[in-house]
Parts: sequence; structure tokens; C-alpha cells
Amino acid sequence: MTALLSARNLTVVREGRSVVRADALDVGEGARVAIMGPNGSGKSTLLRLLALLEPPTTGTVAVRGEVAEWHGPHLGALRREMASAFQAPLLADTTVYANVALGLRFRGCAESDVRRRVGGWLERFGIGALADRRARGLSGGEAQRVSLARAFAIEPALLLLDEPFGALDAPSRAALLDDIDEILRGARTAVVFVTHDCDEALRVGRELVLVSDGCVIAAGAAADVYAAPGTRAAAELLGYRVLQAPGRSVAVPAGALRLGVGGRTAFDLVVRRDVDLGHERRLFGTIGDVPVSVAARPAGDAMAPGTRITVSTDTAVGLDGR
Amino acid sequence: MDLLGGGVRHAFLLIMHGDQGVMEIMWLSLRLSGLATLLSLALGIPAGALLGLSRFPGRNVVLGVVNSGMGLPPVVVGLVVSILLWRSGPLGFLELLYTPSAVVLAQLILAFPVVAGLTSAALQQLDPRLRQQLAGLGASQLQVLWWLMHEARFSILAAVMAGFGAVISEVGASMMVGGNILHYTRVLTTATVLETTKGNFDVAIAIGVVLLTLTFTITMAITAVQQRGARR
Repeated sequence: MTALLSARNLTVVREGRSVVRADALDVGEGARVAIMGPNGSGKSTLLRLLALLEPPTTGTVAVRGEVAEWHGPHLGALRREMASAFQAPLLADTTVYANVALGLRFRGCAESDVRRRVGGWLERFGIGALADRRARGLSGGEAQRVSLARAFAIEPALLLLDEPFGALDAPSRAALLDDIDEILRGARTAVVFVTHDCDEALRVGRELVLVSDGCVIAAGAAADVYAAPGTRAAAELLGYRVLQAPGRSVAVPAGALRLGVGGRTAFDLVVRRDVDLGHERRLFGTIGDVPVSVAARPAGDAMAPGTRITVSTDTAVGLDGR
Repeated sequence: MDLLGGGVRHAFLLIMHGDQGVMEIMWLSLRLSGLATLLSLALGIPAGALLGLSRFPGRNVVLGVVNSGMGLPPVVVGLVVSILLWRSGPLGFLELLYTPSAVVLAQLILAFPVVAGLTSAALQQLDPRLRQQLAGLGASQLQVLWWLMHEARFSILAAVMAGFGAVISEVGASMMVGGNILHYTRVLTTATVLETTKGNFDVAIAIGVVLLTLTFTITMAITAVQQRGARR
């Protein structure tokens, strides 16, 4: 079956430096793909390539099998299969309603249809009461909801979201994330979603694409990628601590270490600080040169910096020896 | 001061009675400068959009030339247009010298760089990501351009005011290429010069007051449109 969106051999080179390299990336109908990577890893550039907003240096992006030609007559039509929203809301200086209606009006939708859909999506994003407000006077959270409602209202085959929660404070972000989850559950739209946050990626994405230094370093079903990150870079992106066990590197989820030798894989930890956090005591230290922390027994004497203890875990994931 | 007071009084009477001569000159000024402004918008806004939004070799040079053009001395424009339209000049066959068309042409040359330069600056001030966002919502190139102009509309209206202000108030070019012919190419500025040289200060002041009132009224009207947009 032809993928909704498929990218092949994409590269972007700027000033002699490779910014993006993705050999193969497919997005199926209704898929939910999270592209995750640290800031500056090229993931936003990758998203703009997929959104046909920027031409690659080499390679192709095809929508339902039709390869996009940058100056070709069909570029506009291919773009209209999708809608994008970015980290900055970038609202037009008009009302909230007119902003959410933009994409529909670009597509020449009948006004009655525009009214119905804009009304519906404003409600779904919880901003129905703001319809007549000027977009410029909104708070950051409200503006981002308008920006997302504007993309969703188009009801495209594919939504491309670039760090849509990146600029929000924690409560607005949690609330919006809940709503997005709910909205996506009911929608058949495919979503490609860029984030640097592992929790967001795992929560929204069913598939995961990890990007580091412009290269796709792992891709696949989110659970599979998480369970077997393969490389050190991928494991570190996913929040694992990469530790040296006898003869091999292993990835250990943060918080999976415990005191003692009870787990299958054991490590020597050098205590740097012993901190009483009130509800628990925590030992901060290093295994090799990797900083880790482990819960200590509530009772017992405080450990002096430099003390060597043994910690272990049952959930160490083997890595390709790279 | 008597001269000024008398002049203003006379001006007031002339205007109150709708003096036919003054009114005719006012309408002609408005028509010629209005047409020149409209033409400068029709050419200057697209040119400004091109300069502000696209990148091409030599763009900076063109932008520099346009920006310098904002300060073109009207007499130099008058001189160049006169030479071009002179009977033996390259465009002499058009027989436009000392016609209203020549005045419009000279004023267009004066207003064009103002409109193009300010439009380009207005569009360059916008967040560059906005273009990408609009395209990302499925906008065609024309729709993108329309919305960028919408976002820059206050500055573009300022360009309209500046363009109109430049041409309604200039005298050198109109005098040189129009010839200040009564009922034909005599506009408010050239009439003011003529009446002053004749010593008819009261008439000159009256015409000056009409010119100021006209400029003020039109600029106020554009400002009202601009500020209504800002409040909405």
C-alpha cells in the first residue's frame, strides 16, 4: 500500500554542513509519528521538508506516491493534503475566528462549512468563548490552542506539529496535552509531531523517529524503539542512563537502579552526595562517569562522599557495542 | 503681519464662497496627484513586495537605488522628464510635455520609490516564519502575499500617505513639465508660486491654505482607516 507520505534519501546541506539525513521515512494513513531529538538536531528542518515548506538538497518527498517537485504546478495541491502548526503560534492580526478559518478559506470552503467547522474546533480546543477576540491579545496558552485549532480545522490527511507545546508553561502544557490526546483519539488524521521531550513523544506518538545531529538514528513502533534503542545515542535520547557493565554497554531507565546486588546486572556506584528529600533519602553519585541517583534506605547513617556501594537493576537493555 | 492676516481673511472668503478659480485648481491638483499616487501604489506595492520578500542577485543594489529615490529632488525629476519629453528627446514623439500627463508622470517617478521602499521595509519587518506558517496552512503564493500585506497594512498605509504627501506638495517637477498652464496644468503648488511672484499674497495664502486643508483632510481620512484597523 502506498504510504500517505514517504521521504527517501533526504539530505539538507547548509554551508557545507549536513543538517539533515534521512534515508527512508514513511507515514501511513492515520499514523502518529513522533520525531524526537535534542534542540538543534535538525528535527524541525526535517518536519519542514516533510511539510513541503523547504526543499531538500537531495532526495524526495512523495504524497500518496506523487513526488513533490519544488517548482512544479502540483506543490500547492500536495501541501493542501497537510496542515502545519509551529512552536510559535504565528497568528494573523485578526480575530480568533478568522485565524481558525484561514486554512479553510485558503481551500475555498463554502462559508457555511467554514462556520460549522471553525465553531466545532474552537469548542473542541476549549476556546469557543474567544471567537471574536483579537488574536494579538491572547495569552501564550490560548494562542497555541488557536494555532492548533487552525491546523486541525482543516481536517487534513496529515498534521505536522513542530514542538506545539514547547513555549508553554507546565500547567498549560499538561492541559493541552490532555486535550490533544483526546482529540487525536477521535480523529483519523495522521500526525507527525516534533518534540525534544521523551514523555510527550511516547505519549502522543505510536511510532518514534529519533534524530541526532541531523541523522535518523532509530525509527519504528514507539514501544519497540523504547524497548531496544540499539545505540548509545538513541538510549540517551530516550532518557536511559548508558552504563558500562562487564564486557558491554547497557541502557538503564532512570530510576530503575536499586541498592544492593538483588538485580540481574550490578554496578559500582561512587556516592557524591547523600540527600534527605523529606519523603525519601537519595544517593547521588556516578557509575563510571555517568551521573545517577538511587533511593537509599530511610534509616541508616548518611554516606560520606567517595563511599563505594553496589547497585543493581533487572531492566538493563543491551546496546550494540557502539 | 497685516499681510498675513489679510491674506488669511481673504483665503477664508475665497474658500467660503467656493471661488471657482481656486476650486478648479484644487480639483486639478487632487486629480493629478491622486492619479499619480494610485499609479505609484499599483507599481510600487508589487515592486516593494518583490524587493521585500524575494532574494535575487543585485537585490541590495536595487533596494539601495529605490531607497535613495525616496529623497529625489523634484527639480531633478522635472529636468529629466523634461529632457525625455522634449520635442527632440527620446519620448518627444508622445507630445506630452506641458500636459497633465507629464505632471502625473513626474509625480509618479517621485512617489514610486517612496511607496516601493516603505512597502519593502514594512514587509521585511514581519516575522519571516509567518510566510512558512501561511504556506503550511495551504495558502497559495497570492494568498500568502495578501496576508503578509494585511499584516503590514498599517505601515503600507503610511507608505500611501508618504507617497501622496510627496506629490501633492512638490512644485519643481510640476512647474517644469506641466508649465503651470491655467485650466490645464496649474496646480495648487505652482499657482502659489505664481501668485507670490505676482505679489498677490492674499490669493497665494488662500491657495496655500487650501493645499494644507486638502493634504490634512486626505491624510486624516487614511489615518482614520489605519487606526480603525488597529483597534479592531
